[in-house]
Amino acid sequence: MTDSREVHDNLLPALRRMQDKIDGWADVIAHLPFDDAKTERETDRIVQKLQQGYAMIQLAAGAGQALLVNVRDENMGHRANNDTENEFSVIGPKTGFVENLTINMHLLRQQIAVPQLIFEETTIGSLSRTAVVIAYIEGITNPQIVETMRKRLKGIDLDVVYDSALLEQVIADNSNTPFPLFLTTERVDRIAYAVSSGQVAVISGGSPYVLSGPSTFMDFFVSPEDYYLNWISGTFFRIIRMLSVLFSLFASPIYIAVLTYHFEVIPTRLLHPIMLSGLHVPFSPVMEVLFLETTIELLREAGARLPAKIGQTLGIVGGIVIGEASVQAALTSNILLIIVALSALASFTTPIFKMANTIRVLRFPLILLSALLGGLGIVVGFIMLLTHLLRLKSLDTPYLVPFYPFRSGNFADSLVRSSYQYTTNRALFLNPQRKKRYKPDTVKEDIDHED
Amino acid sequence: MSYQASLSKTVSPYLLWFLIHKSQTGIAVLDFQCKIAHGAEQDSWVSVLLVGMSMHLVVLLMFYVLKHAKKGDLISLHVQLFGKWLGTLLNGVFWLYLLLFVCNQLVTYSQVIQTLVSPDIPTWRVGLVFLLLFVYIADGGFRVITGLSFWFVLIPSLLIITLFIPLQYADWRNFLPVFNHALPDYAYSAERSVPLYMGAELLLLYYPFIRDNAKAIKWAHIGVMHSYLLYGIFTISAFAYYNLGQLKHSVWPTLGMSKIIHFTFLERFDYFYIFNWIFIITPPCCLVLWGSARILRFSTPLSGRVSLWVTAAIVFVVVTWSEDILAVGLLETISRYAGSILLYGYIPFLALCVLVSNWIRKPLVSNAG
Repeated sequence: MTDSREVHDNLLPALRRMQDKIDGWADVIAHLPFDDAKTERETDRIVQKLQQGYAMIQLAAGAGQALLVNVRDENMGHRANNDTENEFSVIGPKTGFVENLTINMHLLRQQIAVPQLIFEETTIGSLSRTAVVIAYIEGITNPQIVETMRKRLKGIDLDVVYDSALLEQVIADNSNTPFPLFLTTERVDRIAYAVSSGQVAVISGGSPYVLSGPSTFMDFFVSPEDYYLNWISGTFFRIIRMLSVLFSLFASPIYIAVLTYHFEVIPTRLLHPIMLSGLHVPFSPVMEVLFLETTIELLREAGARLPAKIGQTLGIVGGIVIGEASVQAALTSNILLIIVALSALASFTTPIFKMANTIRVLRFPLILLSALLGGLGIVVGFIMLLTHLLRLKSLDTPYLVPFYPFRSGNFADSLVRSSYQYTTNRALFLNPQRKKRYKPDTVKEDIDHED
Repeated sequence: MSYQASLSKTVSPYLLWFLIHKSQTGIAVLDFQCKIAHGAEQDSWVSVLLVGMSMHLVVLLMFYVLKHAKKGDLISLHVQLFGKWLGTLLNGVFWLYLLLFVCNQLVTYSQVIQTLVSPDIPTWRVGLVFLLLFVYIADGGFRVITGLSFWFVLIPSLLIITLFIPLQYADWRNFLPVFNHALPDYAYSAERSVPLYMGAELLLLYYPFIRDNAKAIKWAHIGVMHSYLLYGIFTISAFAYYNLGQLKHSVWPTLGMSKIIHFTFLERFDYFYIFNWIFIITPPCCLVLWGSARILRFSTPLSGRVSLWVTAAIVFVVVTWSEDILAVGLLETISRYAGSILLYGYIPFLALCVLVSNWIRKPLVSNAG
C-alpha cells in the first residue's frame, strides 16, 4: 500500500536530517516534507489509516500518540493511460476518465476552469464507503435539478458501489425499462458539455464512467465528433445514426412480415431473387431470423468476453465461416444474411454503449410481434415503443423532449446540428439560470455591399 | 372560474390543437366520400366544409358549458345540474356512447384489415391486440395520450404528399356543374359527414387537464379548422380522382386512391395507408377509453385501473360479437345518429341549462355578496 520510493526518498532522509532536540510533535511535523501528517490517539483510527498505507511514527516524548504520515501509493492499482477505450473519436481529445476520483475531478476542472464548478462529496455504500461527487455549475444549473439528484443519491442504500452504473440504475425514475435514463460516458468532453449546458454529473470513486442527467433520448445519439466536424458533415452523420437505429430495429421484422404475410408488397422482379435465395431453406422466415440474430448476438457476446486480439480474429472467422456455411448448407437465405449483418452493424453506430445494447434487445420483441401479426404487429410494436418512451422521465424531465413536449428553442441542436452561430442557447428544458451560452460576433455580410 | 387539474397533470394549451384535431380524425376518413356522394354529388364538399365550420360553434358552446362546471368536466356538470341520480344516469348514457364510438372504430378497422391485408385474421384477434395496446397507452395517463396525439398528427401528415400521385390522373371537370343541388341534398351529405367530426366532444372530459383552459379556445378553433381543411383536401381529391358513378360504388375511396402509387421496390403502397390508419385511430380510441374509465371511477366504487380494464373488456365483447357486415353497418349508423344528437342537440341543450341555472342562481350570489 505504501509508496516505497516516497518513504526512501523523502520520509527517511527528512528524519535523518533532524539534528536539533525534539520537544513535541510540532517539531517533527515542521521537518517533514508532507502535507498530510497528523497525530492520532485512538487505536481504531490508527489501524484504519495503517491499512490505507500511512506510515506511523512514534516518539518517546509524545507518548500515547502516534504520527501518521500519508505515504500512500495513490496510483497503485490504477492504469497509467487514460485513453478512451470504448467511445472512440477520430477528431478531438482522447482523454477519458479513469478509476481514480481525484484525477477525474481534475480532468473535469481542466475543461471547466471557473470557480463556480462545484463538487459536492457524499459517501455511499455501507461496506465500500465509496466517495461520490455531484458536479454542477453554480449559476447555470437549475438548483431544483441539483436538489433532486442530491435527494436521489441520499436515498441510496447499497453495500458496495462497484461502478457508477449501479448508481444509475438505483436512482433511475423507472427501473422497468430497457432504456438507460442517464448518460454514462468515459469521455471528458461529453461530461464537460453536459455540465456546461446545465446538467448534473455524478462521479463515483473507482469508476471510469461518469453519469450525467437529466438526459433525453436524443443525447444518446449525439457524438462529440458532431461538434468537431463542421455542421454539415456533423448533421449528416447524426441523421445517418438515427436512420441506422430505425434500420436496426425494423429491418428483420419487416423481412419476416413481408415474407410471411405480405409478399404481394414486393414487385415481381424483386420478389424473384428473394424467393430464389430462400428456395431451399427448410425453415419459416421467423426461425431463420431468430437463428441468425442469435448467432450474431453470440458472436458479439463472445467477442466482448474474449481478450481483444483473439476476439477480433474470432469475430471475423465466426462471422464469415458461420455465415458462409449456413448459406451453403441452405439453412438461411443470402438476403437475410445481408439484412441481419447490416442491422447488427447499424446497431453499433450508437455512440453510447448502453443505448446500443437496448436497441439490440428491443429487436427481439419486434421480431416476435411481426411473426405473430405481420405488418400490424410492427406498427403495434412501434406504437408501444413510442408510448413507452413518452412515459419515461429522467430526473423528472420528459425523455422525449424537445420533440414532445415540443420545445422550439432546442431544435438548433437536436436532429440537426446547426452552425455555432445558432446554437447560442442552452437546452431550455433544463431551465438553466443563464440561457445564453455565448454571443457570436460575426455578422453575415450582405451580397457585395461596398460603402 | 374554470377548474383546472393539478399542474403536474396538465398539458400546454397549444396541445389542444392536436387533441381536438386528432380526436376528430378516425376511421370515417376512409369511406366518407362514397357516402356523402349520394346526396349533393359533386357539390358535397360544400357540406363537408359547412359541417366543419359549424364545429366552431360547438366548440364555443362546449367552452361556455365547461367554464361553469365545478370540476371542469361533463361528469361533474351532470351531477351539478341534474342532481345525483339523473346526473349519474346521464353519465352512464355518455359512457355507452363512448363505448359505441370505440367499438365502431375497431370493428370498421378490422373490416379493412380482413378485406385488404389478411382475410383469415379473426376480428377478436385484431380487437384483442388493439385493446391491449390502448389499455397500455391509457394506463400512462392523459399526458401520454396527448403525446401520442401530437406524434400521430405529424407522422400521418407525411402521407398527404403522396396524394399528388393519384391527382396526376385527376379530372377536375368532375366538379362541374357547380351548385346545382337543392338544400335537402346538401343536408343529406352534411348528415353523412358528421362522423368525420365526431370526437371533438371528448373535450368535455379532458378540459380540466388543459393549462389555462379558459384562454385555450384559440387552439381549439385551430384544431377544428385543421380538421375541415384536411377533410376538404381528401374530399376534393377523391371527387377529382373518381367519377361520380365509381365513387358511389367504391367502399374505401381514400385507400383506393393510394392503390395507384407504386415504386420499383414497393408494389402495394396502400399498405402504408392501411397501417397508417392505426396511427389515426389510436389516439381517439385511447382518449375514449381513458374518459370512459374516468366516468366509471367517478360513478362507481371501482379504482381507475380496474375501470379501464372493465371498459376494455366490454368493448372486446362487443367487437367480438359484431363480426358480420350487417352488424358493422348497424354500429356505424347508431354511432352516427348518437354523435349527431350529441353534437347538435345535447351540447346546445346543456348550454341552455347552464344559462338557465346561472340566471336563477345569479340573484342569490349577488345577495350573498
